[in-house]
Amino acid sequence: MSESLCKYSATELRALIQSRQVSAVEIYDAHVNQINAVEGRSGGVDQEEGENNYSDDQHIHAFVKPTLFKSARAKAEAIDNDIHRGIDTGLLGGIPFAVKDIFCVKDTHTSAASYILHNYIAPFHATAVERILGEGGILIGKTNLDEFVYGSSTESSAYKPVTRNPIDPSRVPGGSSGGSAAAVAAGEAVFSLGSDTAGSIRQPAAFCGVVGLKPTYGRVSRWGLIAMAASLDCVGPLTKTVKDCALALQVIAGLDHKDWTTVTDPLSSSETLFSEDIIQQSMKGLKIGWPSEYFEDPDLIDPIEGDDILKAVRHAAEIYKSLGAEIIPISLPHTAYAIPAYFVISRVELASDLHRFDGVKYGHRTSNPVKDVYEMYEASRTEGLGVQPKQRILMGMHVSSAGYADQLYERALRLRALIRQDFDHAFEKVDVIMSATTPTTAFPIGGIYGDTVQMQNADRLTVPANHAGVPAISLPCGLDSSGLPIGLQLIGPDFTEDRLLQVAFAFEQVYKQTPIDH
Amino acid sequence: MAGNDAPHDALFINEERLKQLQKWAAIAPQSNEEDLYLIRELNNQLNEMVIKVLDPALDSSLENIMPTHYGVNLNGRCASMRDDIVEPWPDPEALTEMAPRSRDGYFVVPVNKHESLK
Repeated sequence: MSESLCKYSATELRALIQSRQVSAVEIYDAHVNQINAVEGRSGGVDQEEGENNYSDDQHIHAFVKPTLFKSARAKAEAIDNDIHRGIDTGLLGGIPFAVKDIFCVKDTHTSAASYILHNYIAPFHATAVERILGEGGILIGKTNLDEFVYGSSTESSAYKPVTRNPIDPSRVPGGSSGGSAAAVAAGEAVFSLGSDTAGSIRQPAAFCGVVGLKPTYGRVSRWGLIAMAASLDCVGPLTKTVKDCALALQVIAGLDHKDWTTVTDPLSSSETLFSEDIIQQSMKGLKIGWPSEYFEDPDLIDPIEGDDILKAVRHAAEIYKSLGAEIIPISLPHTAYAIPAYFVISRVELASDLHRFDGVKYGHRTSNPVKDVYEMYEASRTEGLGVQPKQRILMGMHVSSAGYADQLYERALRLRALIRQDFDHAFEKVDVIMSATTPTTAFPIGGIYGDTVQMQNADRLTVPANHAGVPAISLPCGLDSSGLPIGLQLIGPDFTEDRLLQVAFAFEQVYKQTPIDH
Repeated sequence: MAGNDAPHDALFINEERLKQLQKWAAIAPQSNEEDLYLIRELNNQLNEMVIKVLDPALDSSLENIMPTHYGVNLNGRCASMRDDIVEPWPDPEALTEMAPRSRDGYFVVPVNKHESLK
């Protein structure tokens, strides 16, 4: 049974553990065996990508570092003991999970997939991680990502070999939470934690055929998340099912005094969300917005690959109609400006955020002789940062410098307000908005890496929700002609994750994608 | 699109501007190849993306809207800010020990050459 345990959802495994049909140790061992079977060699900053290396090509490489087997197995044993003694083991007791290596985990290496943090050991837990651990989750490893989350394919990581898509290892897993999505899709972790600044949870979820939720800005604490663009960054889960997404969100959400942007708005218990009655009621008369720009603008949907994607999303709309929902055409007129505004806002914020990496308090410092502290900063940053963070910092310096700040940055902030206004107007007419998650399915490794404009365009259907701050979920809704997963994106008004998850769940129950056989 | 008009030519990055940006960012030029890649990609981004922010078709809409720092209006939704109280870290030695160089609880950095004011 051990291998098949890797196919179960968190909700199913939780029930099996509680009813003592399976132990936490058995679940843990099954996932370690799966990692040993599919993961391949461990990542490292001093490793080159294998040239025509068959073994690397056929493995997933979801993790940046070997997993934390020793302490994790001991925790699984402790949970089993607690269950035998009738002690509550928490909402996620005995469930192995993975964390994108952009979150601080106390006493573990936390790299942001960058050489500049190759020796950094976090002295505290990120709040989201602490909450999962507090509910009995078992951390099985830290997953790979684009360096400092700058990318949409996980290829810019300093940690090689690159992460591969479990559905087709010649393809990227998406990014920047590519390792988190791949680990769940490959059965290496039951669920994982990611971050989403422009689509970095939803896009890899879509590419790898899993569920990914970007909660409303302020729903989940960002404490302990290494910032990319603080006004856009959101923490959220990647899971096998919508129910698991609700469960993970319930655990990580809520007020945190270490992050003043977290809100007091309540969230329902995941156990009460998905009864058949509630789902039926929630679908009858539900108004789903169909934004014309997302389906008709050739700059937004890839004209070649878009056919399969459009078919899948139209099919999803038919399913919703059959459940009693109404599909209503709407307009989000400033969608085409979302990526340009994002380019300006994110670069300005990240250039500021990345100034802290200077080789003084932690991280890489040059070992070459330097004449003063300024030369030390420059040499340490030059050696430690990859080319993608560098170009983003330089763009941030450029567009925020005298003469451009008002012209570009302030204008981009106003543009963000306009995009937000689009959503406000739309939600006066509809309850939820639907679209494809991505303009293409997973592209080949090396296919567009290095072309920064094309790479950023991978986020063009996801980034508007980041500007608006509204919650959005991606769930599988079909396969393209190559067998690659297609993601359906559902977007809701502020702090309506409960409803969004119910709407997603209703679709998931009707449309069951062929299970991924690993 | 206004972005393709001549007045925005000054927005684009040449070798001299790249050097200036690298100095501000404390990032040294690496190789001619990398610098050429950076100039090409940064200008592609400016031309394909950033310049669209300047689209004159947006002018009237943008005039009537305030810039926003968050998409979500957080007013009244968040707990009041915590008191600004400094609490000692339980294990400060662990922090300074992680620094590339430290001594007696202080971070050690190269000393800048003293320059007398004229």
